[in-house]
Amino acid sequence: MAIESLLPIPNIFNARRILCVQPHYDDNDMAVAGTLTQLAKLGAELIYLTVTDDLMGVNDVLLSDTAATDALKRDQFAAAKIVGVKEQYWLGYPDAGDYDYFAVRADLLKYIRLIQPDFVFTVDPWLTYEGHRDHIQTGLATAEAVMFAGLTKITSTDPTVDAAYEEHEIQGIAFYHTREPNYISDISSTWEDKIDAVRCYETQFDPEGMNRRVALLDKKSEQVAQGQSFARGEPIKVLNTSALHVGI
Amino acid sequence: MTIETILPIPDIFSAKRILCIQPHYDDNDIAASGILTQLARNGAEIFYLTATDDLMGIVDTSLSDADAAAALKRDQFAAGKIVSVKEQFWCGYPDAGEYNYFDLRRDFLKYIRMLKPDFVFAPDAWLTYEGHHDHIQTGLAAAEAVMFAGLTKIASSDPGVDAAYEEHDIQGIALYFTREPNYIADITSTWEDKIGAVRCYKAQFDAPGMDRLIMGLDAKSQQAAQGQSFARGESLKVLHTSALHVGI
Repeated sequence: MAIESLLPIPNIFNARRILCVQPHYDDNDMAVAGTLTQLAKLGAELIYLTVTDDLMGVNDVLLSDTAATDALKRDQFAAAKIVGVKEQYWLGYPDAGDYDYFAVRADLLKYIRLIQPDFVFTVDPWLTYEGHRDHIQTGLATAEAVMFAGLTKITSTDPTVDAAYEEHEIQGIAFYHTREPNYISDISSTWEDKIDAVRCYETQFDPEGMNRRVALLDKKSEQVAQGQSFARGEPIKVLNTSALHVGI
Repeated sequence: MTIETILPIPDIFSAKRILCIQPHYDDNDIAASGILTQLARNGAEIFYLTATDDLMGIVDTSLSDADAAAALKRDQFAAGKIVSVKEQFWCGYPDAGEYNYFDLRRDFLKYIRMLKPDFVFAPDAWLTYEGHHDHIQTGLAAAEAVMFAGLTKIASSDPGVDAAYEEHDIQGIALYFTREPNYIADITSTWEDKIGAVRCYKAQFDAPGMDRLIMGLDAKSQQAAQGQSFARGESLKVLHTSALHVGI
């Protein structure tokens, strides 16, 4: 028996301004590019924020960090064009590294207060058997930053952003890479866009690795659509912002 | 709704070289010595790596730390003989203490790159209601070290090991002390060996404490086997290495 939130699940299609916080440069798109492409086509503004510098998984180990960073950004901008991402930001924490949770949270507070999204997407940090610490830290810090956006006594990394901030409503949070979805998004109409976007991430996947990844995404999208009226889905845990505390 | 991995569950019986990472000196054997004894009899090489120094739970509090450490090792070697453990290693982090997660991960990376296991056993870090921080840290660091073994840009605690390392395949991870098993090992044939091994751990259990532990294991082994065709089981969550990320 698992007790569910009694708060209504907000509708992601009501969102007009969506901040998507990802641990690594490709997570938003690997997980939910199908849904995000639809939201952008319907007029929502998409803003991506990447927490780490992604330098550990670069294929070409001969690249300098600067050249690798350029290559990573080229991939991101190419994918963003397909999905319809309006703007991108980076925090630059060391990939798979030893960084401070509260520093990440303070940075996320800054961008949430600055951008004032009405919906936030991020990784589900409660995904059981997720081994990657960057995912757990990013998901937890994002959840807390969403909860604390209105409490400016909890400072962000930018005092001027905090001073200028006027409280706004975040309708909800959508966790991707989840094993416990409460919403399966129909991505049949944007599947090709998703795969085109994913295929942009060449700096971290050689052609063989990319083909394996696309094959897995293919199979996963069909697995999650089982029992639905459509062929391909993306699983999302969508929660009211107030459902992020004490299980209400 | 809980979504399961789409990746095949690897067969632990195909493992030839198994590294069992435990927070404390007796965890591998209390959790999984029934199955590990079988794997050793089938020809697998078994290595144990103990994260902490176990000095907090010593029954004889008059022992010096040096004497206690010697007593603990005596117990481990006696049990190791029954289970047929080939070699044992220790990290020596303070039992129930405040140590750095990344130091632990670096040490695990070292032993994984050095020993090149094709399977890793560790406690399930996602066991809900597990209160012991050592278990959570050990399980998480073991999972991340398994994922990152091939990424030598992520350094271990031994540059010599990193330099000599050539990428190898880790088929999977078997998480013990789990509430979400996907494999119940039939340990009926090795139950007596298991109890023989567990009874070696005298430095941390007085006679009544050991009897209570055996009773607990007796009941738990029968609970795990309910609905199976055998009398006694050990619960494992066995995952493909790639299933340790984004719930694929």
